[in-house]
Amino acid sequence: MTTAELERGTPRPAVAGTRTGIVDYLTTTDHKRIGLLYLFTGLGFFLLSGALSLVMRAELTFPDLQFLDESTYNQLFTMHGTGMIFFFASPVVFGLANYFIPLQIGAPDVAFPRLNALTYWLALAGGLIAFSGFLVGGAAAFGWTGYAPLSGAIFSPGNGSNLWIIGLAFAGTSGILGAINFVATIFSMRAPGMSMFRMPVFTWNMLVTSLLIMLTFPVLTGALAMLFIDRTLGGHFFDPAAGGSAILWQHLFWFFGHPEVYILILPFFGVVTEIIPVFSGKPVFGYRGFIFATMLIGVLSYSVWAHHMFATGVVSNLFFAITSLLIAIPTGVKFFNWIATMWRGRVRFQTPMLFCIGFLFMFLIGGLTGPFLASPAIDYDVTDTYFVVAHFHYVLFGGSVFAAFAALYFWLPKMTGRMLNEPLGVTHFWLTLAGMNLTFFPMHLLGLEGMPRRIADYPASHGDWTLLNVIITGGSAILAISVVVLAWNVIASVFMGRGAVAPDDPWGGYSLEWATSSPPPHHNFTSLPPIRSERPVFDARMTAIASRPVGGEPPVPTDPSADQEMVRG
Amino acid sequence: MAEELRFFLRTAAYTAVIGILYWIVSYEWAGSLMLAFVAVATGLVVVVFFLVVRATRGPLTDNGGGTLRRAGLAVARLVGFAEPRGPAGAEPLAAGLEPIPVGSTWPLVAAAAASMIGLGLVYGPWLSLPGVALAAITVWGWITQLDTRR
Repeated sequence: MTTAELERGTPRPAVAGTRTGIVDYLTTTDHKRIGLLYLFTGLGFFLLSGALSLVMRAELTFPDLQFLDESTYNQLFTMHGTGMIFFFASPVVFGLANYFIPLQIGAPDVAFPRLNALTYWLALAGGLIAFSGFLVGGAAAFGWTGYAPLSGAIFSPGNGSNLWIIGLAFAGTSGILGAINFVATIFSMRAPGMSMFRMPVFTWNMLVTSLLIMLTFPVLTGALAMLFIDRTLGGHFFDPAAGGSAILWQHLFWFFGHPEVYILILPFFGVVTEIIPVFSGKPVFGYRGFIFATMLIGVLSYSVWAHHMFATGVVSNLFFAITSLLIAIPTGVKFFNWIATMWRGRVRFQTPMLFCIGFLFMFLIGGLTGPFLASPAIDYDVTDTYFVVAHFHYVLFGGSVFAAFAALYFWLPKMTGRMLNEPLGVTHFWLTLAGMNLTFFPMHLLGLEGMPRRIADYPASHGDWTLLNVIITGGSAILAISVVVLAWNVIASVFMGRGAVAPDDPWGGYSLEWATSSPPPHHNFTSLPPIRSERPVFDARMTAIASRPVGGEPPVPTDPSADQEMVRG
Repeated sequence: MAEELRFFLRTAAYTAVIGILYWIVSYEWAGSLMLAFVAVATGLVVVVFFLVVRATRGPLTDNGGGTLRRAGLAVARLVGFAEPRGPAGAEPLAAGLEPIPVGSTWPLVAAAAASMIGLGLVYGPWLSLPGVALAAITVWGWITQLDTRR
């Protein structure tokens, strides 16, 4: 197909060979459509929660502005955190997993398609219910961690808090059902030849993530039920005056909450591990090492929850410091493998790879402040300051969001049949990198200087707090512009059809999703290549090259970059 | 031993060991019980898997063997582990032959019913009671919807 034909090509429907009306999406049980619904819902909540953070940053630009009252500010940071974690990052993880697990293991769908649809609708309902608090006199205002007794009926009256509890319970239930579906799919629907240790690393990471979800989300849902009983039915689970324990909430919440952080990062480790080898022109270095490192992070995450509770003074600091620091080892293995994969590779600096390299640097900064915070002596000093805010934003924005953007540029052509615009993608990357560092790096300094998190104002006389806050707000404005660039790229390239039509394998990929059309047909595959390694599509390409007559034309593109140039024209 | 089994076994072993260590160093109930919960939950999966793997060893049509093997084989058939696997490179499960549901209204209606019940907990039974009725209709519709397979 010539470049001109590619440019003029008509985009195929989101799922090839099927109708794309609204009713079809409302009643769909196709994993690809549900994946798209999850992804775009997640991006919607990203815009909403991001907008809340922009309002917060405007409020904090200078001291004594106070165009927001404290109560409103508290609602904003609560719903920003809740929205980003439960209704942006989780749906994006579930969206990618929904779309690509069946494709990567050569299955026609997930194991329980109707249950899959239910998990999406429950997640959406949960998000809408939690955010509906803004419409009924005020949303929850106790932080996304919902600490008791602040989240009790005395300190947080009003339906907004109850709606937050119900919304999160929906998200939790949805997560458990989705995780069961993924495990069943991976265990029982792999194509012939697809052994466990031939599965792509993304699918492996989703398997570990699914187990984390299955074992920790019930704890959250149980804790939320107890909180709801305390608030509305006169319970005393978290009421010390009546024999309950406020610390119990923290144990329950963080037993879920810390694995939740890994639930939000492990799938993106998988995404990065899919992209880096393809754009380095090399097989992944240490395939089994990646998988065992993921498993080790997964199991260790069960035993680190109370490093969030050092400052309570009632947990075993030694135990949790040791277990938390141990996580640096498998994470280091992953970093070593990513670097070794790129080493002496023919690296192509296209947008997905740029975001992956950005991920490596940004997540490294977030990762390095992790051992600081896992050391009780340092944690006592910086707990509940902006240092902690900087740490987890480097992990979750520099890590998860960068990798999510990488996934978007890498896989959206497969999902929609349209390539995204490369110059706009590169612009988006540099704006995001600059904006993120201007926004979150000064927070380290603010935290070390003692500025507490979750405050709506700060004294003007306090050192250079004002200067740092001005820089942070400026950085967040750049981030907002970067999101506009991304949104325009997606709208123009995909919805307005300006992007080049994506071939089946635009990047020279390795895993099975590149062996089908873009977008795939309803049953995903019309035929599968033999699966004899973790890179079946690469193997098929090599076999085709080896079997072609001497001097003949290659039957498939041999050089991924040449393939890409063909698409770009 | 199948990797699927080892996957759960590692989690069960780690959480059992670390749970005991945690109890020794902290005497704290909540965390110890949660770690025990994880160990027992994953351990249970290992036991069931072990039965299935043992039972499916050998010809699947063979109904002989002890009670344990017959029970395991029944479980294996129930959860789909006893399905024969083709050789590498065979036609995929897809190819338009596998029956896949093409669409269903009931997941959306089920979520609507759940929302009514959930919001009813906040706003009152006037919302949750119709939600329960809708949920009952949904359950009936869902389990009797057999024509979504083509």
